[in-house]
Amino acid sequence: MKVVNRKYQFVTEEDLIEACRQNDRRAQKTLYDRYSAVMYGVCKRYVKSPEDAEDVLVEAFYKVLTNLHQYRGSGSFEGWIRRIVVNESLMFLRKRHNFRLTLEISEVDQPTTTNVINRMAAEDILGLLSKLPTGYRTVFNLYVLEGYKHREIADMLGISINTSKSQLILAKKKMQDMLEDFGYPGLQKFNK
Amino acid sequence: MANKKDLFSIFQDNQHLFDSAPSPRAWDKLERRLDGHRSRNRLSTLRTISMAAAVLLLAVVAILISIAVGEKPTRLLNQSPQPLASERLQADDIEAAEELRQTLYAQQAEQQRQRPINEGPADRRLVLAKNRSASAALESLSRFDWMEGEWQPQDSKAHPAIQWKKIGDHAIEGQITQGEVTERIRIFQDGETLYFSTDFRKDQQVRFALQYATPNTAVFESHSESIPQQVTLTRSKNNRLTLIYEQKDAAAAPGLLNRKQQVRSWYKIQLQ
Repeated sequence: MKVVNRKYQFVTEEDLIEACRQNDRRAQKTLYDRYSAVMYGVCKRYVKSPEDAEDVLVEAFYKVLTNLHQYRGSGSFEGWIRRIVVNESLMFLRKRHNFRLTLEISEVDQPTTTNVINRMAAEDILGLLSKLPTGYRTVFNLYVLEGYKHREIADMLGISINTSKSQLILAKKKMQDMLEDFGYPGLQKFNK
Repeated sequence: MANKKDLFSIFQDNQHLFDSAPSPRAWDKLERRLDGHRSRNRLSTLRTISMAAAVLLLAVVAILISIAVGEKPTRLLNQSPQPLASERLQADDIEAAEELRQTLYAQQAEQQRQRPINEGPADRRLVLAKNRSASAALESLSRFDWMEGEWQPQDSKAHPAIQWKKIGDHAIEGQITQGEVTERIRIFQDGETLYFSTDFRKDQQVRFALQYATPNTAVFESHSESIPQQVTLTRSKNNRLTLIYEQKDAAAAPGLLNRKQQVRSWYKIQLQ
């Protein structure tokens, strides 16, 4: 069904949510258009494959649109959608990855101090995230980009708090290693 | 730590760079899922409505049945349609009620026992009569003990006296002697049945089977056309014994007025 999406182009978020609760398809499309790009970005940070990320996005939006009655309006609507998207991404990852098997380390070499990353293009650095192993990437995402505490991450992934901390340190170490492997000019200069 | 913060800041400040529109296929997929959800919702609503209707229908049927059952008499068929006296009594009179109930039951049973068999087809009546006579036979002979002894006729010109005596445990015999002729009447038990027999015809011993009996009356019948077909033996007040031979008139309706009768009546001499 082709949706001509003009009616809800300028409505407030509350009105849009109410229209979506009434199963108005044009309102649903408007809401999807508003948030799908951001949420697809979230999915891609957790799930490497774009196709899988899209499937996760669809499933997450399906839950958003069919559970709108549970949104009380007390917090940010985008934050509410984001939690659903993150949960859906974690559910996807849990089916393919056992977070309990990740190593817990007691002492990790601190990443090399470097100012060169400041000079790197942000896009290059963000690209490093997708090259991290699933465990590192997931903890990094939850801690750095979603703002969860290690205790919360431990609960969400079914791991210990120390494991969560270790995964974060290892993620940064891995990024450091990758920067060196790529022979980034800035890093070479810094090392000298 | 400064660099650590910087690294995190780079990601936090630039995470919008991850944003990108998904392919149009994503919306198509989502829309198909939402369509399925809507039809499932519709089905679910229909299912809910149909289930509610079914429950309502069951409730209505149950109520109708309970009303129908409530309108039927709850008393047992063999009970009186009127409430028993015992049912009107208070709970603390249970003992008296039980006694009264037993008395009423005994009265009903007696009425039932004395009720003539008029209902049902003829063959069924015969079976009932046989059953009744069989049950009567078990207690029968002892009920004729009162006949033992000599009985004088009411009218000595009409018929002679009769002398009854017991013969063993299964028979009692009465003798009527007139001149040289002696008629022997006998009531005896043969198997489960009581019989009345007489040899008033010298060439023939006639046997009548007990049809029913009450404490003061016994009716015996024979189906032969050539002889009296019914004998009624009655014990009346004032210590009287009456013996009635009846010949049924086949063409007439049943009733005493349409029957040929021979009635003989005696009274017993009481020894002071």
